[in-house]
Amino acid sequence: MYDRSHTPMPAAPASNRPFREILVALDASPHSRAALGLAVQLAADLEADLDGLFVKDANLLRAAQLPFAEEVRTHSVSPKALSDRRVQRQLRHQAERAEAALQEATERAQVSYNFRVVEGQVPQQLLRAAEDTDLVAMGKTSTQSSRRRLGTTSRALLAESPAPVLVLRRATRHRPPLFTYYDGSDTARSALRTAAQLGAPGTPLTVFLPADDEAQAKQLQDDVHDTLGMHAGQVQVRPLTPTEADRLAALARRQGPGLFVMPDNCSPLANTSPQRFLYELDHPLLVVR
Amino acid sequence: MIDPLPADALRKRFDPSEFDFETTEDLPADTEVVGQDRAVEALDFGMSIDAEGYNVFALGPTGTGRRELVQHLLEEQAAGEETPPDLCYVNNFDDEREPRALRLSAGRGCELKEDVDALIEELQTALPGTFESEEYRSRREMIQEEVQEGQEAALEDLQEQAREDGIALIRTPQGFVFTPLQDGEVVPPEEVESMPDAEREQVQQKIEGYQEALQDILQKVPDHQREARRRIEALNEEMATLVVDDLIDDLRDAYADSEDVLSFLDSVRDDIIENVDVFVQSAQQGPSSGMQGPQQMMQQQGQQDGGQQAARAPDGAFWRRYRVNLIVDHEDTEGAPVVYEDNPNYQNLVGQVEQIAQMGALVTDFNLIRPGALHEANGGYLIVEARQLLTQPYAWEGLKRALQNDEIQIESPGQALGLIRTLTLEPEAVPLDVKIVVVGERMLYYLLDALDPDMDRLFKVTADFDDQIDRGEAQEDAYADLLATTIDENDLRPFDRSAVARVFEHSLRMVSDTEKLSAEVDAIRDLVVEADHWARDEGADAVTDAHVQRAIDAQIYRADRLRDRVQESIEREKLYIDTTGATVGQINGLSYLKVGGFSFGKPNRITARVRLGEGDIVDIEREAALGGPLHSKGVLILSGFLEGRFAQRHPLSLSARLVFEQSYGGIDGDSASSAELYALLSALAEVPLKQTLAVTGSVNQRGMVQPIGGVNEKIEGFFDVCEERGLTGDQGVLIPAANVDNLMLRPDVVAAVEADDFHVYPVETIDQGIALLTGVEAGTRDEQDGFPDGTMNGKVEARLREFADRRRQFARPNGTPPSSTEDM
Repeated sequence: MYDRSHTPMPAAPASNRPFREILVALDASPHSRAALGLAVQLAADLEADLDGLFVKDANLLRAAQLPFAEEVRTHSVSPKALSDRRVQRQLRHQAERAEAALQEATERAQVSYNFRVVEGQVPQQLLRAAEDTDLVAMGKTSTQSSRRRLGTTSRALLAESPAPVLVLRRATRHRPPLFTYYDGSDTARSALRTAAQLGAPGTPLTVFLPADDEAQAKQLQDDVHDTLGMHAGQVQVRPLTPTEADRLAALARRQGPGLFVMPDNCSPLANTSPQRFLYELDHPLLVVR
Repeated sequence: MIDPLPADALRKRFDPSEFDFETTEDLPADTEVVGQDRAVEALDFGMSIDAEGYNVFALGPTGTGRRELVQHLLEEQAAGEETPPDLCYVNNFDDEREPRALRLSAGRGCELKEDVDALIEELQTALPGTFESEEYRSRREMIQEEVQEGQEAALEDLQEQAREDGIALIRTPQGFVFTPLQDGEVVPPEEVESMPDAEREQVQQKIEGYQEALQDILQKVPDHQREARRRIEALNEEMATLVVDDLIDDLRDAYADSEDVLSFLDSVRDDIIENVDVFVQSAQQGPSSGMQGPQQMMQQQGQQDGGQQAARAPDGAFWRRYRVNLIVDHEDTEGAPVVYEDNPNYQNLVGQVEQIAQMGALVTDFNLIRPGALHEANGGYLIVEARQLLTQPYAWEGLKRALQNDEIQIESPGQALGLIRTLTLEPEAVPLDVKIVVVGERMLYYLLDALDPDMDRLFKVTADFDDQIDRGEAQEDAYADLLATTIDENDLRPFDRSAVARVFEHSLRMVSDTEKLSAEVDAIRDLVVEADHWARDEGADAVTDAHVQRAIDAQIYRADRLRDRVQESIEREKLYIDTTGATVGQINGLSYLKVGGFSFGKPNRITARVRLGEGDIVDIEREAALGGPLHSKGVLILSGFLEGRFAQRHPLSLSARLVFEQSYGGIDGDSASSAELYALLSALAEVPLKQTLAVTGSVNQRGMVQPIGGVNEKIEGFFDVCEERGLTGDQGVLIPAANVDNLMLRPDVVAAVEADDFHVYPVETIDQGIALLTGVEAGTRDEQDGFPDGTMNGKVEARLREFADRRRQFARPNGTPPSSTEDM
């Protein structure tokens, strides 16, 4: 799968590697499986370490201890009593499955991994873990749900995580094309570099430039080329009109599947809810701080 | 005394110079049949009459070329007739057990098959392509999401409402749980424990309320999902219809003239649309990696219930259901078909449904329907051999059933008999319009006619082939041309006139009749081929009479081991046959043996002994159960003759014993009855019979000598014995005068007669014969009602009277001889 003789990329110095440690948040959902897949790809390409984290939901454990705890299920007529022991068992089982999935995925890609199980409030635990890592990869929601939904945990991490966050819903193809957004800010520059470093040689990178006029567009474009230097060869720039800038997510989506690297707090993200942005984009999103 | 026959009466010779050709090269060689007018006319009639039941039974002896002739005549007739339609079987999508038959004008069946195969090939790529397309994917997702979003919105509303109420909704691995919330955190259990009862009660009630609300939402999930499924199905059908209609409409235009094909195409279209799930699911499994090409694994059952197995990509087995099974293809047929089925068993006649063993089970579908000879011949002619037909189980019944019902129903024999009722196909019956010609021996026809009441209805025409052909100038010419045809067909050397003449002579000998030619064309062909072989052996350019003679001699030599043994036994006097001198009560009879297609004659010593008795003539052969009924009948006739001629005034007081000496097998036929009578008369008259002569011929009660069979072989049998010992000039054979036109003797016999070394006497009556054998005149009754003294009859009568007198004496009470007075 990874034919290093043809793509001798991470021979670059360590400073060129944007992420040396990747944390992937695991649960039982297909979204998290997709996140795992992409995280493993990145880890293999960047020779990064992969940390799997499974959080046992403290709220659920507490609720299960309540004397009157009852579980409502989709296909049963009346609620069933919920016992602490059963919830413990089910969570343990999910954690085992998550580890198995992690093991299988990393084995194929020859990536080393760590796996941890912690107990606590899910967002808080992940935020804490995000402090010690270079990238958090996670599924959009913890359940099989519609494209529109964005889980509370993902929302929390997108808003507060100190590390860059990668959110996705569906597995991508191997080495997706990259997109990014450059408005001249420092974060945007950082996002641009990250995007360029993520791409293996030959992976196309498209940079969207919000520009009110041609002069600004030219300015930004020069900036991009200055920042990327020798990598600039495979870069395409795409100036955006203000209307297009407002609808960036939808526009990016129409470019086909790919990984969108966005600087945090840039105007397209700030002007809309992350849920809406992700819904319109419908492709993996990596938010760089 | 009657005279012997002249040499030229012993053999019909053909004069080569009378033929108006030099060699068979000069002949047109286009004769297929000579004579057989009756059979040919019957066949013509049978072929041309257009009415039910006018099938033909061509009967005649084997080797007369019946089958070839029938086929030739049928092909001539069929060439000018219309070519019948092609026949295909296609799936019946309403009931797969009963495949439909499609009839298309000749040649279009193949077109349809190719067109449908092409259609399938296009669909194989177009349909999965459609369901793998981005357009389809997004439309499908849209539907699913619309439903799911509605669901989630309701759930989120409930969650929000509960949160405001201080209750959290938490997902569990299998569902949801509500729990009290305080400051955005789930209340720890200890706190709940320590709550006042009333407060706890209140929380619990709130939770119960939310649980009910949640359950209401969740219970609608199946409804929503069903709705989504229904909409997706509609979408699938819409997409499939677009693709399928586009492809099928072209075909529909091409076959607009055939209602049946149009309705088949419609059903294919409907079925593909109905089974569209197969493509959808395989498309979702991933891009069509599962296309297994022409792998013909059958999964009929799996296909029928669609869902379960269909998750894998539709392979060759799936597409089988849309294919066209071309059963009868008349694309290259000119005129009506003429089919000769050389293995007419049940399934080869009516067709069959084959099966494939798969995972230990036998499965089948309409693609495995195989045609029978009746399908192939439908609209034309079918030839079968009666013997083969009758020796195959149920074949005759199957054929009759098809003819009676006027349709071909493909069933296994077990099904037809109701013995097996496993689930299999019942293909739609096809209307039958065929002329059957059954070719067989006469005996089979007569047996069938006597035993099968259906014969009269189904085989109204008999074409009776003769084994002989009347000889006439026209027939001789045709016969020569028939030889030329045979020579031409077998690519042999030309036969010169002498060779043809020799073949003609052999043909007469084959039927033992100078007025007939043999119709056994197979045997003639063998002779011709063998003569050619000897000609080639000699390096001759043309076949001459010498080659033909050599072929005949070789045939005889190959077959006559038994005759040689018999002749040798006679020569070494193991079998006693006298050919010189004269003996009382002993005569040379002649018997005729046929072994393995070769026949020969053999002399037999017959003896008679007489004594006083009560008028019984004992046939020792019969007493020993060695004589057949015809032989016994001949002997009983002798009594009639003796009584009629000699026992009018006094009882026949004779007891006689007749025996075939050294006969250890059975004996039958009455051809020795004249010889027996001569021996008996000789014994009574005590006059010796010449052993130089041999006798054949049966006799009636009036003393007339009647014709017999095998006269040539019999004469030759005695001739061979005499010749071996040296011909004396006295030797000869007495034959019935009526057999003279059957004489076709070997040339060496004829030569001996010509040299006056051997004689053949045509005898009409016993009196003529006894005179020849004894040299004593037979004598006729004079006015005094007695035979003259010194004649054979006089001596016999005297002896018989003596017997009668002595018998009367024995009958007296004291047993003394009567005085002369009492005699008055």
